Amino acid sequence: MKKITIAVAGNPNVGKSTLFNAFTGARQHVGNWPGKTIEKKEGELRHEGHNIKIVDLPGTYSLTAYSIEEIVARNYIVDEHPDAVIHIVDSTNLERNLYLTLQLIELGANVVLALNMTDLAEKQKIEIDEKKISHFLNIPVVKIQARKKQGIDKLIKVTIEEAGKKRHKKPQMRYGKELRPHIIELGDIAKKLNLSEGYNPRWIVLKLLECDDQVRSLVEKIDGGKELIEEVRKTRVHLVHIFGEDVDTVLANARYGFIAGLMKESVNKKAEGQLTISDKIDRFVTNRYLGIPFFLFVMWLMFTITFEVAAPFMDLIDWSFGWMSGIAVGWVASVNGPEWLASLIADGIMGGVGSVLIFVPNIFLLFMVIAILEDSGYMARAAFIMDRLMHKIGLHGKSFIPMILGFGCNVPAIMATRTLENKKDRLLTILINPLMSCSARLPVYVLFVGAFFAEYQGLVIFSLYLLGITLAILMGLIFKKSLFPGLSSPFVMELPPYRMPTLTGILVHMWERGSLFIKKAGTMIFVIVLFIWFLANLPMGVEYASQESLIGQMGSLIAPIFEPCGFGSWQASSSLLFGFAAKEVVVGTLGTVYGVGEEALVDSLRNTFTPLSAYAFMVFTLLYVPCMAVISVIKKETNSWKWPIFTVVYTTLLAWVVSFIVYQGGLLLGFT
Amino acid sequence: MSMPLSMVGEGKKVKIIEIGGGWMLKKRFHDLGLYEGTEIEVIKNDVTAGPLIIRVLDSRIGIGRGQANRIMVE
Repeated sequence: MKKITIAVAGNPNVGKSTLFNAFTGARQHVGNWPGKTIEKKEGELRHEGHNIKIVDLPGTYSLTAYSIEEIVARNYIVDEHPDAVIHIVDSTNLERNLYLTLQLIELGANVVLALNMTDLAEKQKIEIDEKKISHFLNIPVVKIQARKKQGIDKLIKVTIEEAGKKRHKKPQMRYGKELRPHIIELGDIAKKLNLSEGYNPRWIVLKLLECDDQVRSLVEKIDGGKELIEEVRKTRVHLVHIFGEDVDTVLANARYGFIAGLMKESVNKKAEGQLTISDKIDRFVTNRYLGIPFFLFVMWLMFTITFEVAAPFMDLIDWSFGWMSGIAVGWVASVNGPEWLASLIADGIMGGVGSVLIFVPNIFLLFMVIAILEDSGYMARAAFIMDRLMHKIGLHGKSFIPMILGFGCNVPAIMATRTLENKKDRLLTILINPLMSCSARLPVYVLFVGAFFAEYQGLVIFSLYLLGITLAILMGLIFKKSLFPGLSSPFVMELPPYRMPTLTGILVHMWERGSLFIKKAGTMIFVIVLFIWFLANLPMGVEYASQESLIGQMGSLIAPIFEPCGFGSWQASSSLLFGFAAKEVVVGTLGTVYGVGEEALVDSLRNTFTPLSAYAFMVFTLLYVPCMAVISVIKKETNSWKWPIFTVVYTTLLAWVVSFIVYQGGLLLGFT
Repeated sequence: MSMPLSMVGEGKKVKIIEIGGGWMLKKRFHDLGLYEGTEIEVIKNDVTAGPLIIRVLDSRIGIGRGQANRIMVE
């Protein structure tokens, strides 16, 4: 049986992921495309003997090659020609959504229109006659509710039928008597060209008329392509003369005009013009006086949940590691096993990995809150209210979203900069992102704050996050002035309606990102911690984790660098050294060299740090190189070694300078 | 009477007559339903500073003040 490939396209926020999950259940995986760097999802589905591959394309408003995501979505449809494309749309915002439908049809894809959120549309008293829409667009239309998994079976059935059909069906749309003959005439020239499979000549002509650079350079390479481009140029000049407007505007007008007519015939809106709940909420959260305080309150709430709710779970994990360690050591003793084996288990594995895994509850909760912020629609508002501030560093509000995502993990945050259209904006946002304190740094704060600032836990940690944001803005300002001078690019972004996040949606989100942390603890951090344990035991015969051990010697070697910052102990230095790999390792190293159990660790820390030097240490951890994964993602996203190296150098220098100021300044002010 | 979008008060409904700026940006506006002739409603505008929120085709769009200056409406 032939395998069918179905792509899912749609605007952002229309329920694409929900539909994808409804299709594929748990059998999804995140995959990279050959030659492309965009993260995309692929899943498998079986339906009545058909083997179906489902491809979730990035959310786009159009196929104009405006952002990287649009290029990827478009290239996928053109180059890989999936057997069918499901275009999922928000039924409460049909008119704008159908603009993309028209483009998908023009591209020559076998489109099936899935009207999602029909329940919301009903609530808003919007009546949709899908048969009429189907008639006008000449494609199948299916009503679904992805959240409740309604209509999914029918959608799949219809799509499979559609997948078998020939391409190039046309909607009943005309570009008007002035434009049409030109499109046909140019289309005839394009048909004679040796276009590769998947390219619809009419689409090529339309894109050339719209001055699409990507299509233009593609056509240029083909024999006779230059002649076509020249003809198109002449036509453009001619049309501008007739219409008095450029062709883009004429085409957009024609498309929206057709859609408006379609809407009139097939959609009946009973209640119009009243303030929606979203508008009412927006009045409050984007208010010029209340907006920023409310945002800070949300951030505060986020961290409070992260710490307060997690506390009992952390105690439980700590206790179980102590318990397992005790059992393992007892077992080694009972079989007369060597002492080093007991130490390997207790100090190395349980002490090192355990001290990292104890933060699983924090990290899961943090990702949960971020998922709620994203799914509810508040994230876009945060971008909106920060736009004014971000403009001061030459960025716009949209750059703020990757920064908030950075609180979870800088790696997806840096990948999220792909939604930024301007290259300079994107690079600048990438460079300052590591200063946003990610969840892997949390263990370090929690450990030190618990040991030294028990009474002001929340406040101290919050101050570190704020320091990160402030320095990100400051560095942004400096980079903008020195590296990327020029005007800031335009801010235009949709503010999606507020929606109640679904429990499964949030749990899936939380698990996808949080489980990576567990995986990391079980693999990379485990290996590094074992390595550190060996270093703590070598050379042979040395006292475990003493200054004479290899790790003690390594730490002592670089300790003088950190002396002026207040944490010149070899333990602190070696943990920072290995923390280059990942920030969790800072805690893992301390756990290994100081031994198992939170209490023992805390006592040891109190012997080597003062509250002031502990704070300086946290500041250093906050600011210096986030981890290897971030370095490699910067390399991947900027496609050069220049920027990752630059990031390593500048963050480390910044970390040293700021922690130096904190420590020496603190001493001057009389703190200890 | 035509004026820049940035001057329109909250709650007012206006019609776009011209979109200035680069053609890439113009295309983005088209994608979002903003083209010459569209009717839009200003939901939020502090007039002095900061971005605006407008309603167009049942969606809310946040738009920077700089861009709003270059959209002429009536």
